Amino acid sequence: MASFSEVYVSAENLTVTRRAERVIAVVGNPNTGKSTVFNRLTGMRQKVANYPGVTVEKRVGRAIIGDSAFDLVDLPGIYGLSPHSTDERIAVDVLLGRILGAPEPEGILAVVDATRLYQGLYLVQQLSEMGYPMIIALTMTDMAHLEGVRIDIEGLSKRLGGIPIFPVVATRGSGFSELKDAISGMFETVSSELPVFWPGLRHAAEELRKKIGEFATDFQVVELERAIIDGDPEVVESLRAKAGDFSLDCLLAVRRDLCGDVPPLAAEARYRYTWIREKLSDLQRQVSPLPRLGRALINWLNQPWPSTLSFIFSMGVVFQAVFAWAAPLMDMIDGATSSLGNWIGGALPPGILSSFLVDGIVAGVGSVVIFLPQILILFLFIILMEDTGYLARAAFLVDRAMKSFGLSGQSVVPLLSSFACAVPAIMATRVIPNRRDRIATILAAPFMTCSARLPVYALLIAAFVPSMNFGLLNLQGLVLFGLYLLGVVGGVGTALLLKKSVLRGSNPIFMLALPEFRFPDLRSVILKLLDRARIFLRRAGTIIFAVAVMVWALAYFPRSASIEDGRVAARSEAVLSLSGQALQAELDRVDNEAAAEHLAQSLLGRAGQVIEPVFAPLGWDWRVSAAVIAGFPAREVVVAVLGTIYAVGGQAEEASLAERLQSVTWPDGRPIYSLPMVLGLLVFYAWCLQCAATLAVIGRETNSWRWPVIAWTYMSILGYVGALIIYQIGAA
Amino acid sequence: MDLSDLKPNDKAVIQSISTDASGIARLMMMGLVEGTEIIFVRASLGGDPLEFQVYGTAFSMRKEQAQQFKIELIPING
Repeated sequence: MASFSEVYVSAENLTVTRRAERVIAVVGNPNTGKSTVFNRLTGMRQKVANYPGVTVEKRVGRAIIGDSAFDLVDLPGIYGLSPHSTDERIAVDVLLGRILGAPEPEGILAVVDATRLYQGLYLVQQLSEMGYPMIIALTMTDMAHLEGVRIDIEGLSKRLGGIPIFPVVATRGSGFSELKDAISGMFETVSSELPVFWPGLRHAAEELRKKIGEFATDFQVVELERAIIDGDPEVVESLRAKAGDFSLDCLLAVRRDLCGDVPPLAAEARYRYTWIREKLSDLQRQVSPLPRLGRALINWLNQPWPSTLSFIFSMGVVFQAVFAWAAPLMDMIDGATSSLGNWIGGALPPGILSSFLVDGIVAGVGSVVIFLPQILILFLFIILMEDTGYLARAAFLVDRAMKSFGLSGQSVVPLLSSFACAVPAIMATRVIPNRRDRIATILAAPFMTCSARLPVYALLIAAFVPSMNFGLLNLQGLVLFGLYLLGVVGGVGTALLLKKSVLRGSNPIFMLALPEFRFPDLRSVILKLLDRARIFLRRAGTIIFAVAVMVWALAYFPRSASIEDGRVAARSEAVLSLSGQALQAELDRVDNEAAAEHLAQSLLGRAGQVIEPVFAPLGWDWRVSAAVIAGFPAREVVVAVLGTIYAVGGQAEEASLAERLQSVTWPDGRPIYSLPMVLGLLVFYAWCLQCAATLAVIGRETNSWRWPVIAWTYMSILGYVGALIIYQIGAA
Repeated sequence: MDLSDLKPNDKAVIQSISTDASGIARLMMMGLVEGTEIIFVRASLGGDPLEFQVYGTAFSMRKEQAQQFKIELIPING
């Protein structure tokens, strides 16, 4: 007998521990306004779910309709249940309830674009056969009307065996009260036994089940169907494990009966689209499109030459914005970090706690937040380009050029993103269907000049490249442009090299739906942007922060008492002999000298001295070597380390650091920072993979430790050899 | 005649498809099957990739893929 015990639950806990809500998957083709529908239904009650074991973050939101609540899962856009990219694979796996820890859907909200009804219905057919209750939201009905598309919705619903269809305009919110009512009643009113549109496939799956008997009961009939069509490795492997090779023979036999010699996916497409064309042609008709402002303009802009020019122009605007708009924000963050550091430094007695808080924690957080302006501005543009449909046009435009590097137009977004930060860029490669192309793009991305390289470039260029003008062009600007170019050359060269060797394969397939131009939905844009910021802070931010604290510890320990005693003595002496501004200057000098001495004998300083012979052929002394070592886990710390090493103070103005760099010499009086050495150092920075966050994300996305190791080794060697050649030629 | 032989605004019906070529099944999944009407819109800069329209959806593919679709031109009647 069950025993009863009283449990007291506070009111707070009650709201949290409510029973699990019904889970509804939101599924549709890409660019159907699916996410806008999802946002409309859930409002801000969303969170990003992390499923263990897979590199996926998907939005889950709660829709509250009347008295009931439903959990909606927003899945990546798919054309059908045969996945071709990592993103699509995730959507299909969630639908099949295969992702551990992900809520298994109990119902489906299919989102179908009224202007692309046929493609939407292909997916609807497959979803209908999965055994969940389903309703259809027909989006873009306003666009369809403008384009002269007329759909008999009632007739369509009838022809689909009674699946309810609700026309909506997601951006304006019209049709949503009906849709919400339908969702709240779907588990009562819609059967989970929806029509099977391809009886042949269902029959084949049942044949297969009969042949292999008891072993097949572990699989849903849809899973067997997908195995017959796609040879889904997961099902095939577990079939083989449970029922032996015999089961695979059975699978091949039913496949041959169903499809003959035609590839099963082709057979499926033939069958389903023929059904759609024959059964639905009388339900959709085309009248002449309404006159629409801008259609002629957009059509003209899509011509090869205008689109090329507008692409170059918009890229110019994007980069200008990324730098010009972000600069004041970055200065503000920089200023706020220093003031906070100074304030803490002033409030606390000098020592390990003060140093840890100021140079470890505050500087660490600052070094993460400083990247946000550029990353957010770049992603704002990318999201706007994506939501207006322009990104697909850009991919179409550059595909030819990318093809000559062995890539396709689909690599353009990741490579573009990597000009802000390689971490989100590498995550954006999930849309690339071919694994070889995806890895080539992942290895090319870290070459692009990310925002972390800029402070180093800015410091060295300002200090060592004369500000001469050639007409309109400035030499410093030219050198910076050259460094960007160096990154691009390194990246595409690497992709080409990989595609010609270890990743050799057939020419990448490029096929892409080109959505009509449409105005973006502000709410979706903001949500996506917040998503980007969150992903960056979590994926990159935590690692950058940890690295900053680690570098601080390496530069702080061990602490020498004699240097500290000397500093205290020198300060007291100064206080006795000087006053006013001269005293302050002397005190700063004493502190900075002591900091430099501390660093020289810290773990980091000693490592620099040990490794100096390795970097000596590049013209680097132990100080440069130590700074570069500190920069390996996160390149952006280099400027701060150089500041401390050269005793101008970690928070010093760049100008004073630049002056200091110009004056340091070898024992024999030659300047250390000669032009060949500086150019070599810049090349080293352009090509080296000095970013632990990027390495971690490469490992995560390729699901192997080999690729990050290869990328790191390859780029380090490339950077070293580049710097070596330049220095040796210049010094000779 | 195949899909890569069309001139802009030409309309055609797909007659037969080399289903074994790589990437073709994927295109078929997007609606390019025998009997589908297809319009050639334009080529990108340099003549590749190509833009088509099927059932109101614009999308693109490379020439290598376009050549796998044998077609029959639909004459324009006034």
